[in-house]
Amino acid sequence: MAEAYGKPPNQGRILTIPGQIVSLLVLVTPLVVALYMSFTDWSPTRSGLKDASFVGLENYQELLIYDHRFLQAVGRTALLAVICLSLEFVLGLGLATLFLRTFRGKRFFFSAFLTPMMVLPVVVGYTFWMLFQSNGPVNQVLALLGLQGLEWFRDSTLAFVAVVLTEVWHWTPLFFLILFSGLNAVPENPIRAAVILGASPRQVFWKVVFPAIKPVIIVAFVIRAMEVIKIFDEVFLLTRGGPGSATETISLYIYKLAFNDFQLAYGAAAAFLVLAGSLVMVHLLLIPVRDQLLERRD
Amino acid sequence: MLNRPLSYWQIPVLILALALTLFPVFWLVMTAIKPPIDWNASPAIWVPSEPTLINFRTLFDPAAIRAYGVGGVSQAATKAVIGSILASVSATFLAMALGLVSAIGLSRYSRTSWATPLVILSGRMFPPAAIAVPFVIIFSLTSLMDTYPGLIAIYTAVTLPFSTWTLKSFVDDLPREMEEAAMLDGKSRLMAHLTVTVPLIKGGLFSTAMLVFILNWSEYMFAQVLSNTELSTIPVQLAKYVTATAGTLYGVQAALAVLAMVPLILAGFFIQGHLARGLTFGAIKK
Amino acid sequence: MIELIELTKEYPGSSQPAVDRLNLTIFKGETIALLGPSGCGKTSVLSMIVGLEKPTAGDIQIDGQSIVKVPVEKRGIGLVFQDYAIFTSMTVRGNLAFGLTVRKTPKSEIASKVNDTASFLGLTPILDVKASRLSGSELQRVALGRTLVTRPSILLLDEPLSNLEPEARLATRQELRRLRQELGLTIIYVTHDQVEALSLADRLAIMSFGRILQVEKTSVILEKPKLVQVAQFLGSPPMNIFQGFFHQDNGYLAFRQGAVDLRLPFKSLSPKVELGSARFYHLGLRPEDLDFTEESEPFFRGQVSGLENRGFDSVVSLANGNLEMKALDPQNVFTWGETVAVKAKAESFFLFDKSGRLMEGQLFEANHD
Repeated sequence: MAEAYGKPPNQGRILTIPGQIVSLLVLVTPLVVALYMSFTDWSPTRSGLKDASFVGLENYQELLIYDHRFLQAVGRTALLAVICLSLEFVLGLGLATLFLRTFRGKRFFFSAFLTPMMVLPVVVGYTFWMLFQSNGPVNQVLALLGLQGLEWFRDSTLAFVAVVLTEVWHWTPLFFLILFSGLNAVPENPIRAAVILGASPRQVFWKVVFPAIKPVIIVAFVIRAMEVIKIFDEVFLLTRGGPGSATETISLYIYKLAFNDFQLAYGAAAAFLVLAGSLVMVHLLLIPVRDQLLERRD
Repeated sequence: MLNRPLSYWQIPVLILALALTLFPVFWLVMTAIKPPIDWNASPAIWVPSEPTLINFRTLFDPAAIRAYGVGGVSQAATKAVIGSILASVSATFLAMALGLVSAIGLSRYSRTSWATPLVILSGRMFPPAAIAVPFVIIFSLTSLMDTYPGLIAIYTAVTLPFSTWTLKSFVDDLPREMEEAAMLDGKSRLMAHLTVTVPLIKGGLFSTAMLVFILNWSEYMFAQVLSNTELSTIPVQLAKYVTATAGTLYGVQAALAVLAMVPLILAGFFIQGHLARGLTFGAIKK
Repeated sequence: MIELIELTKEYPGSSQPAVDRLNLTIFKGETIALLGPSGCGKTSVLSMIVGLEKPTAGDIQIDGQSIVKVPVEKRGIGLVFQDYAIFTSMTVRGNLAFGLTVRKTPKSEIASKVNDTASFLGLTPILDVKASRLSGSELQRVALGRTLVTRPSILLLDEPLSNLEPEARLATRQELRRLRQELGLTIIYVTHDQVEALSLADRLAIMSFGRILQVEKTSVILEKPKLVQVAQFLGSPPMNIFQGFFHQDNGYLAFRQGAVDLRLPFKSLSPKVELGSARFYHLGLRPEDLDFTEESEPFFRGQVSGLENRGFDSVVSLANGNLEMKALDPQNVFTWGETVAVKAKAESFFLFDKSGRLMEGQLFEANHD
């Protein structure tokens, strides 16, 4: 039976060619161009692409050693990722465990909790911009609690908090969904067996449930980490990276370099540094679950 | 896992969480139906006493927009809405068609190495600003700037890895025997896949298409970078209102935001069962 | 000694209780099987004994003490699940040690107990293998060992043989016998498979719709099914049961079901059994007690309506009108549609009264020709 596929093996691969051509044309070519550019000093305001001179690793050197704004953006994005992902994980896991219980209207609640994820990032940014206005509803509620007149977008820390809250609202549902799917797939009898053997609820969770959902947790973290590294729309509409550069993430900085200051070559170099960093991170994170991603079944 | 009812303290927690989850959406919808006088009232008005649809009408009426006379925004949202539909639908169609063919090829005719998902994932990791840079250069050389074909090409390119990988996970789930039976019946490979494989992954095709559509419809930066006078999408228009007027067009912006959001919430609802799988590149099966 | 007293379990939303006022006494050191079709409530009984579920009513006592309020882990009862429920993220050693580590047992004690159990069950060579890589019978031994390490006095097994290959079944049977002999364990297991029940248990409790129909020594139960439902459940194939009445027909004694007469090999009935269509009985006859015959006026004559070749013999279904019975044909000689006659000896008949209870004592007077 297998011969229907096996011979001649190359015939079927024709099917992968259209996708490869498109990827080559519209994804690989630009990346190669960008990679080349990142070794030049090209800026459209100064010269044509042909006149750009090759500067080797100068851009990279500049970024890694002298560009404090870039390094700060990297650090800020990492901090944002750590804070957001931890909060989203804890909240999502809490919510997911609630959904292991039975209650009325569970289907409605489930759909409702997934709503934020479906909202466009631009709309999320705009909506939270409204919510955090000095005369907005957030301040109204805080006033009731005795906190008067917070200026969310004028204070560096508050602006960062606003970005965190926005992100957490937007993406906790993803953690919830993934962890809920994972928890639901945990077989029940090992849990029962652990209870009979004398395990406390905490021991049941850490020794039986957690190992079973660990791959799923890693997948959730990887996917969210990738998104946080790219975060742009929400922050752009919410704070534009301000005040000053208090909420400027990597993406915002690269955007400003390339499209406000037209330092395209320098921006491309920054982008490749980010890509290299993320690749290493994702690769390391995914090693424990690579068999699952590749669907290897022993 | 051991079905138990909620304990007493969990009920208020759940309700509070629900309130926090829905509040921003509630606020947006309320703003969209506020009459202009309530838009930026101090203190903020939560529920308008006289809800109105006037903002939605203003949105599509250039004269009405111009009447607000702020920050040079005189465009109605009509073009942006049409542009969003055009770009999202065409790009989704292309990414699905190419993705389906590639998915079958990858699943059935090649061995997947660890590099494949990494390459595909890295496509999703690259900051869009960085992808936009070379596109802008190449597009200005080929006069694709500020055109829909240009935008559709970018959208197709960036969602193709996603559609391919997700569809591959659906094809992987099918037993090969079914296609083999069709091939042994004398059908060509292509026909076997079209008549056997494709109908069997209908559900997966639909949900993947929805996810790709959601990605395209939500996309902001590429459209922003490419657009000048000809090209517009809803996110670009929305950001333009915010930029140009520093928020004085609250109600109209909110109306456009609501219009942008509704199709996605509906799409998300339809494919709820497939969301976990789609959003994790098929790593989660249920 | 474990006593189940008027034990009842009702699930919300279900009209019938899963377990219905069930009474059963289990003696120390015996092996008892709860046998019944799926959905008869046998797994609920196990869950209540081990403490995963609370009874709706009734009591469970061990040596006269109620254990209903005793927490699961303090009952000293082990349970091996049908799917073994192994902790796949751990090694075999981790699985075996689990019950001790969660109880904060000193490390040295854990090590020695785990090693003892492992060698008892032949798990020593695979102690450090990841549990996700084990075969079915290895998984079962790990599941057994994981429970035995905690030294339970009572061991519950849920369908212990159903997930195993035939060869592994034999090994498990021997293993369980050894457990009982060497450790003096009381073993209660549930199964829907009578072969499994008969091969392992000292006593059988036949369950149906949440109640126990009969409890009997395994060696006796086939000979003495007290209820017609039990008779219909046991045996392979189970006993033929006819429903009808006795009547006298041209000097013959016959049993009539519907329009068909079965000619009985008796002269007369004892006074306990009455003639006439107003007296309804169940008449039972095992397939293996039916013999094929050439006589002109046999017990029953019917057409072959079904043949099931079992290798060593065939199960032949014979039909006449709405009456059907099964007989065994060791020679595999019959074919479909053929008309065949059968006879039976007088002492092989079982008679149950209208309510399905076995009638005991001398019921017939045999023909002496």
